[in-house]
Amino acid sequence: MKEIEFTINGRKKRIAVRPKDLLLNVIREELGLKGTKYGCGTGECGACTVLLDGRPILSCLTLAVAVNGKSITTIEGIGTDEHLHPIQQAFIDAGAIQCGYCTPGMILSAKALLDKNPNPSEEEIKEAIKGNLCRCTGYVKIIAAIQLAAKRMRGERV
Amino acid sequence: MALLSRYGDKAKLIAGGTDLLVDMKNEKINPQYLISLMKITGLSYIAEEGDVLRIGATTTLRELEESQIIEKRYGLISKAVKCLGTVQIRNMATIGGNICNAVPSADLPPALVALNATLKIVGPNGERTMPLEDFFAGVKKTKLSVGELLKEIAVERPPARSGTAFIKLSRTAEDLAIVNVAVRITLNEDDTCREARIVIGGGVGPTLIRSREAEKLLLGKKMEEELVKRAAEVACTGFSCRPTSIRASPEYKAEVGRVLVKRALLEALKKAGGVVEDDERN
Repeated sequence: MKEIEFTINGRKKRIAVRPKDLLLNVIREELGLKGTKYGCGTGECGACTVLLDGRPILSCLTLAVAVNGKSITTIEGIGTDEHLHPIQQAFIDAGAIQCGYCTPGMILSAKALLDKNPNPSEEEIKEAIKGNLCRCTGYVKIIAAIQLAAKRMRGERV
Repeated sequence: MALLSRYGDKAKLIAGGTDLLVDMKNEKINPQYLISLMKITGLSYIAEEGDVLRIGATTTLRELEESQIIEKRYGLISKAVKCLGTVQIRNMATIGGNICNAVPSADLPPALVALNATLKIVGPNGERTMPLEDFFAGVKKTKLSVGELLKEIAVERPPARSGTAFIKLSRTAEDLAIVNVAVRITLNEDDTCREARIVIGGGVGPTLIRSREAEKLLLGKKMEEELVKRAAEVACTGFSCRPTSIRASPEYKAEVGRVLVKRALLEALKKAGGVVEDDERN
């Protein structure tokens, strides 16, 4: 076991992990944050996406020991039940959620995009979420939701 | 380095982990030790010195993609990086990993070979350099010895009157390539070809292929369409890919390769300021 310290959703955590532990399992099992999903386990689907120092990465292909000293944001870290993040609200309003399994990763990829580029084109949105597979929606409403969120985050009342 | 010599082949070096951990999960490999390169801060950089661009081995693909220097002056690298994987993968995967894993379908190596990349390798006996072109020894095999690691990739800035092109054919952009083609040409003042580098990857054999024969055809000549077409045919003969490859048959790869090499050469010619006739009929 090795002790690591990292920030998760704004809080410092110190935790003992095994060398082979994956970040995904630590987040879900040790920290009990079940919003991050296990999909394919091989970096194809993006369901396990989390933000590492603000950048989307795949927690199923990241060793827990590798995030020592870094900052992780999961879906639980960007809004609360009372105050959803504007992207979360936009996904609901635009009907971009069906089964919901891809949603946490999709929203985090969208957040990383909008934090850097508040007014992305449709092409840029597609590129940003290319690594997040959705088998229900056909992506149309997801793209609409991200456009809606972008407008709201820029201060437009829509 | 000490860890690497202590554990020898019981250890694997890990950078982004996007290939290595998948192989471990699939139980293709089971190393006893993993030595992370990501903690070595001095291995991640993009630095331009005169006409040479130096890239540290653990620089992520996303960092290459976001680099203004690369976008402006080494567009071939930008182009190859952008058609590789997804944002998440590019945030994790490194240039060194894309090279050292020696997967025949990798996208960056053809572009880097077209730019005459050299590698700086460090090991127990000090440093050595090697052209990237000579680095691959087979499928997932390189000429790194036990205890050695890749430190830096250096590429030449293409001289004036140069043009480059990178074309990847795959089922979807994030998928592995069926064929990828990278070319760099430089023209003389009279529009004849001064230098050509034609590199084909994407699993057309155990390693990428640089077609010196096709390059020779172009040297000193005006790159007219018929000649370019012949060069493309020469470049795409003798692929030795596995007939059982799940992505495409060798025949298909050669057929489509000819079209892509021709297109890439004509695109590079245009960028180099040469005259392209009959551009419509690709």
